[in-house]
Amino acid sequence: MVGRRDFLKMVGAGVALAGVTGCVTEPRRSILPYTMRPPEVTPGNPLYYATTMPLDGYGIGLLVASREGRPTKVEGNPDHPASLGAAGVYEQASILQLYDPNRARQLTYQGGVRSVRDFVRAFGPQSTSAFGTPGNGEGLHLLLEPTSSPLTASLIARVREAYPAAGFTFYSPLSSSSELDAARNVFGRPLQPVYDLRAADIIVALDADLLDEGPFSLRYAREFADRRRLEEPSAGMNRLYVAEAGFTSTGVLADHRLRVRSTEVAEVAAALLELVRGGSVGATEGAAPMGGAVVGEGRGAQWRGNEWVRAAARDLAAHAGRSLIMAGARQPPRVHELAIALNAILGNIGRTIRYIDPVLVDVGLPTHSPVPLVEALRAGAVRTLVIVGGNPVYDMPADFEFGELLRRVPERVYCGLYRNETAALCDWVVPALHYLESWGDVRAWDGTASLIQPLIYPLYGGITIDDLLKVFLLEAATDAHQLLWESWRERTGGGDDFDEFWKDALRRGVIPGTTSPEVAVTGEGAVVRVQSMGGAGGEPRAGSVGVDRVPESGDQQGGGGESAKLPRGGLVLSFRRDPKVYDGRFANNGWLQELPDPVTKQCWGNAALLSPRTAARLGVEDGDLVELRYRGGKLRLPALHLPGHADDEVTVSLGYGRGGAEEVARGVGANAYLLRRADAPWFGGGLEVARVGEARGEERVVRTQERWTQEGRPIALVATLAGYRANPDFTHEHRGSQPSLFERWNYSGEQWGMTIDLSVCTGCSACVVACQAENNIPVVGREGVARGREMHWLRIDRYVTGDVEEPRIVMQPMLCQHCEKAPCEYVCPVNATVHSSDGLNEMIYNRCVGTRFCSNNCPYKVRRFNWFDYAVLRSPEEDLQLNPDVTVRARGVMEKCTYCVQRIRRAGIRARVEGRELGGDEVVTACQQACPTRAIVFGSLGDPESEVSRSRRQPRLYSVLHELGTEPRTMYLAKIVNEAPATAV
Amino acid sequence: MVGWHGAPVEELRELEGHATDEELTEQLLAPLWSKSRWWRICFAVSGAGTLLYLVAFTYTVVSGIGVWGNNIPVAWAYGITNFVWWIGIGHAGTFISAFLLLLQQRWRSSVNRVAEAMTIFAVIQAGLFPVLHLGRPWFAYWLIPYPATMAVWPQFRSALPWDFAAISTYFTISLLFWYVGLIPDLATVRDRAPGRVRRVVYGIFALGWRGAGAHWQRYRLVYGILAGLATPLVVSVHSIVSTDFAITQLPGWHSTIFPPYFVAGALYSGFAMVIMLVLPLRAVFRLSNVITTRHLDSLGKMVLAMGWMVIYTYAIETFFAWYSGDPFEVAQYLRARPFGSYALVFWGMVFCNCVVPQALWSRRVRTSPVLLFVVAFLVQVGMWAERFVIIVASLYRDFLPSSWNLYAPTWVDWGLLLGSIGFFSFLFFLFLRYIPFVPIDEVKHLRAELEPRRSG
Amino acid sequence: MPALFPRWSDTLLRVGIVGVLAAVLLAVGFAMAWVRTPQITGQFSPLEQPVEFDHRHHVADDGIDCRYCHDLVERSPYAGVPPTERCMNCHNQIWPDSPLLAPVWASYFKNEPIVWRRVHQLPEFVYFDHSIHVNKGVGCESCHGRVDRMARVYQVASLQMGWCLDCHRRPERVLRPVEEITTMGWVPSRPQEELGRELMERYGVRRVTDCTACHR
Repeated sequence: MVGRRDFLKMVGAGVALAGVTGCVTEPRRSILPYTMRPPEVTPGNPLYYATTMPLDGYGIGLLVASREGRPTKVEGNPDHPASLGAAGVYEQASILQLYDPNRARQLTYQGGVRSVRDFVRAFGPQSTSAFGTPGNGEGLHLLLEPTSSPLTASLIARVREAYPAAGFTFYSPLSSSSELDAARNVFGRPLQPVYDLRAADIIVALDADLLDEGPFSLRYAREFADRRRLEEPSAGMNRLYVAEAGFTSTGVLADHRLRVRSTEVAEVAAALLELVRGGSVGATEGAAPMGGAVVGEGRGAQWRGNEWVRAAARDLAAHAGRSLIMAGARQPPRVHELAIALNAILGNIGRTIRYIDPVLVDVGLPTHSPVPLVEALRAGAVRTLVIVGGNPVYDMPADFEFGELLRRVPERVYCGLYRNETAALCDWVVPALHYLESWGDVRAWDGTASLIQPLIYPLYGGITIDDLLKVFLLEAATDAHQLLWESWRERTGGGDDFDEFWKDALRRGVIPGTTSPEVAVTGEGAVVRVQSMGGAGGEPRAGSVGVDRVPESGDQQGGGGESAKLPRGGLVLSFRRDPKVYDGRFANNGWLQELPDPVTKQCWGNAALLSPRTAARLGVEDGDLVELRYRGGKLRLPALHLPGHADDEVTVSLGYGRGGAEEVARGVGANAYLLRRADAPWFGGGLEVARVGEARGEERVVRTQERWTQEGRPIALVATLAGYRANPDFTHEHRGSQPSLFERWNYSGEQWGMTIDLSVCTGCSACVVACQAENNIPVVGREGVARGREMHWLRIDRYVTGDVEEPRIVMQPMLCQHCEKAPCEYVCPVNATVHSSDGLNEMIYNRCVGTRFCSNNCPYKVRRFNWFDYAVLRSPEEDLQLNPDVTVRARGVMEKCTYCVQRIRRAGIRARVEGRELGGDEVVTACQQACPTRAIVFGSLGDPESEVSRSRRQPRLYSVLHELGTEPRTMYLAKIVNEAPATAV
Repeated sequence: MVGWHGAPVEELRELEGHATDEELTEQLLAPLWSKSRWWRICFAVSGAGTLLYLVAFTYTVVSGIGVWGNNIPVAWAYGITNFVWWIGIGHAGTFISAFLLLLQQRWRSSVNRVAEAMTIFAVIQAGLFPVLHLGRPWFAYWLIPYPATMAVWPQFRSALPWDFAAISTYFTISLLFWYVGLIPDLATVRDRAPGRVRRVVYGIFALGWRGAGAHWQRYRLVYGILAGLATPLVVSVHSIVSTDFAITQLPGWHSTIFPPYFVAGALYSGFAMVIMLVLPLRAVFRLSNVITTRHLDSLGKMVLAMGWMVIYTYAIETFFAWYSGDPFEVAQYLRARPFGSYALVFWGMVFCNCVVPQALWSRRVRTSPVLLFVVAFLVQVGMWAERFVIIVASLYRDFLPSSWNLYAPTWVDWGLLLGSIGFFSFLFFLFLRYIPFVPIDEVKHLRAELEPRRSG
Repeated sequence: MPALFPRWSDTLLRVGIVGVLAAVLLAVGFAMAWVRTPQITGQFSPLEQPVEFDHRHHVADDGIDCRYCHDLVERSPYAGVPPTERCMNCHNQIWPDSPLLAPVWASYFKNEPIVWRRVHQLPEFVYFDHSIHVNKGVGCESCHGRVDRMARVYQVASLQMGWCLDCHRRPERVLRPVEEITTMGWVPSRPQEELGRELMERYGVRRVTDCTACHR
């Protein structure tokens, strides 16, 4: 059997044979009506169901479109606090994971197919393996993913009753307990902060990717952006300070970005604290006490860090109570403590931050560290290990040698979506259900509970974690829906209106009144504590995934920081969540593998990211193959120059180099977990980099954008707020009408247009995946991208501006500009691309003969060509995801962004059937709907009050390549950065 | 055969020696009867080339354009390069026959048939590429205006439907022109062919030519008219082809000088091709008396002249790019081309098209078959490189740096280029074998015209 | 030496040349005619269906409105082939044991759909929407013909793009009052063009010739 990945590689030869069916008249299809049509279904019209996607235990509320019973598209749920209507990259792509043909399909025991009943017989009521002496669970251990589900929580509790001696461990490679530990050290109890970015004028992110990482990032991105979209020059704008090593989406929007080694963030925080404390709150600008503090090992006072810290401190002081300091999950508790202290001193707690009780089950307890489990395994104390979800064999810190330990366990059970590395070592493998197939519940970061309801009958069979726990409860299995229903009936105390409550919860996708209440705290503890620690001093420490996070042990041994301390002149190795495959769980998702990294634009793999200067020092060319030697481990992967990356540090994405049974994921990129160490899970010193040679073949870096700069061309415009206010019309050369030989179009009714605000685009790429899902865009594979044939209708161009050493990045979503005077239209010999009466630049696939003349004449190069019959690459299962409203393009035709014309036409027809005009804001494109920051505005320019019409009145409006006279309907709002006055040039 | 000694000092003639009509006829018909080994070999080789062509062609149609190296932004590459190159080569034939006929250049007679044949075979090659490079070649007929059930028509603002019209017209006229010119000789062959079969076959194509006065009178009339029709086409065809590029806004394409530029380039490569075909024939069939140094000299001069037109357009193009001050134009002409990833091709083009032909200032070179051949060959290479530079170098560095990307040909691309050359030679060798490649009647007329001056 | 060709060969040659040219032209003409014939468009050929359903009886005799079975037509792109239960609404009373209904009962009890053969088949890149047409005064009859006279339904219109465009360019020639949408054999009270123009006014009908109206 030929795997899809091999397919993707060998696109070419036979694959495209289907292409030649162009002119044949097809045989009669048949019609299969329902025998009994469900009342809510109207064949031909989509239905939306509210559900929730759990990720690392936290829920993100979604609305999922269902076409005649098959889920086809994921959107955000506006009523859900973690989504506010947006859906990120992972949420969007999760729909493809549902249909993934590589998902585990059969329950097996040592390779032999078994039934669920067999499994129950083995572990359920008539369990043969009595766990330990008098069945108290001795030797039974469950390794779960972190969960916040009330139902799961109650079941776990009951399993614990049944088996008091059973062990539990919650593990996820990306979750960190630094934040909670810090809170515990400061407030005496683990608390989790919920930020309110709308109330913050000044935000300082210490290695915190708040706009793109974490369970609340969609919300934070929205709140942040709401304080940033300048309606007019005089409007106010928040200011963002970022100190980080790699370039994150947050760094992209930073007004002041300090590139600093991960190991030095602690010092930066300390210095910040010293300055803020020195110049007591509300101090006047540049007050004396702010002089001192020089940050950075042995760096002189001229180091840019000082300037950054002073500016930040000054701003913070001036905005006490309206500012916010955030520490990233990668940073050790100490940094979080410093952040808490700063927030406390500035009186932000209670204003821009509120603390709530942790949402996850067991959080803050030793069960959230793998160490006890690992010790038990080493001691051979575990007889039955039940692993639910996750992939510990692959993603545990290498020094645990978890795989080895697991082999020694007599009875090994794995329940997960795939037959991955872990499944391969277990004798029981139980397929798990995808969240779109299962009943359940989950809580958002702020505690809000919501239900998970299935959109489709399980495709490949399987069970949920709740079903599995039920097996161990020695109870007769009830179906998941009933289980959930009962649990909530109990929780709400039943009542006659419970059915109403239930229906409402399902409909709205949020359970009212479940948001966690604020816990009143005072920052005093923090202040006192940092003082006792001697202010700015103290060792910077590595963060932690909860490794050796034992509460009694307190903070002092925390993180084993010594190893992370940078030996002078040496290199720091730093790990990061991959913006595409997360921790590796999405590695088998073609959309995500082919999605360009927001900053490096790399597809299909990871690389060693390092600053050009460091690269030069090491003699490593861009794209060279290097070997990373780190604490006994070795890893080969290509190197990539990343302008703006901290010097003397190398960042590597986790989640690649998978070795499981997943065909798409297998062998893509290098597995950075092999270098990860339990005591320094996020970064550590002592890295050596050796150049192996030029990267070849599979090791080559594949990128969708080779160039970093704009070559001095005015493409993505940037200005400082001060500059903008001084000269609001700075884009005037790039808009307005141009002389033209072509006649004007005259319109009546709608005429569509789009405005994209570069000020709030983080480059997160949610829009790109949303577009791919909505418009049936194929995945062309590594070779395809290498040849420059990626099919994305919407791409995000990334340009660095300003100083090469300290660059700024501007992100520019680039899609069909729907030109009024479209260069593509007049060169098409067969009228396959023409102008519509509502201003669209139409592309008619079935008329296209594929001269590619249009692409040559498109200055924006947003047109894509079907070089092969790419539909062949889609498995029959994945075909179920296709949007029935969009043609699946044949081989040899051009395609491009249509402004989601299928949505426009559907809305238009609905409106006209109802006998009314179509509202200017009624149509929402897929990219616009997904965008967390609402950078994309779409609507009719015919309606002067539509959002898009209003956006067109902003002075910073401009069109790309305006001088060509193409008069694009997609226009841009120049990026405005809010530099602090003192440092603004 | 004429060797290194170059040309005699005295005035060059269109005909050397004092052969009688009879001798000339015999000499020029010889290749049709001879069963030479070299012909079989060459034929086999070109046949192999044709086969390669077929393979690459079929593979492309079956699998899709993806088997080429093309991508976005470089959506056109070898395919269109080959097309423009071949159509260019296809120009000299008609030019020589028609133009020079109207200008009464006597020296054309000995070479014009080879040139015309070359034209037809080249246009065949050229005609195939635009169809092949389509994503869906089976819908190529949509470019033709006809009342379709879809009630949609082609778009006449685009250059491509005009391309289609221009090329098909050009092919038809050239074919007729060539055939009409052939008739008297076909009759000659008919009368002298050994064996009935050949006599009948040639006889059919000779359309019953008896060489009667009436025949000659009509023949001249038709030939003249066709020449008159063909002449403007020489100019129009490549002008229209050039609009494939000129009507776009792409820096490197967006240029008003393209039509004359392309015509000059076409004739340039066309004459070079004639030289490359004529010289071997002359040597192999010992035709130095018919295809004299005078011919070589004139062809050489034509190449030189065309060469300078091309040089001029290069200069103007680059100058205007700089003079326009348009950053995109400047980037294209003054950076991307001379210093970009395809700089080697660019400088190769400059060397072959601008430097090499200067050797033709020397009559010694013009009249030395070997040197002339070398020059012609390099010009041929240069002209292909020129089209590659225009197409690929312009596309791979367009407006937005974000979309910049390189192009690398695959074996299919090479297969089609070499294959088309193979196919061309294949047809040409068939032509040599079955058709008198020097117009016997015209040569005899020429002799008749020259005689009195000789004896006198 | 004897003449190579007999006298008549000249004539033959001339005829031959003319013949070849004529043949080419005819071939083209024939092809263009051919694609417009029912063989290609699939018109006028009643299809064998799994159930002997007779529209004549249900529409003409019983006078059942089209929308009773094709109930989606006003709110969905699809007119909707009725679910089996719809048949049962009547037929559990009427002719319950008719052998003609056997397959319907089978479908009903086995809960397996009846597999109908598609009569009006558009290419997959064409997105036709019934709801907008019937709500703007395009009668069923206008495209589907006198279904009330069809034992087995067959395709009346060519369904070729040119045919669609005829109406889309000049809707006034077919529009009828929405009250008459399902009427078979409706005749306009006034000259169609005149009535049509007035209805265009009333229903806000536009001459929609954007490609994306049907191709997406």
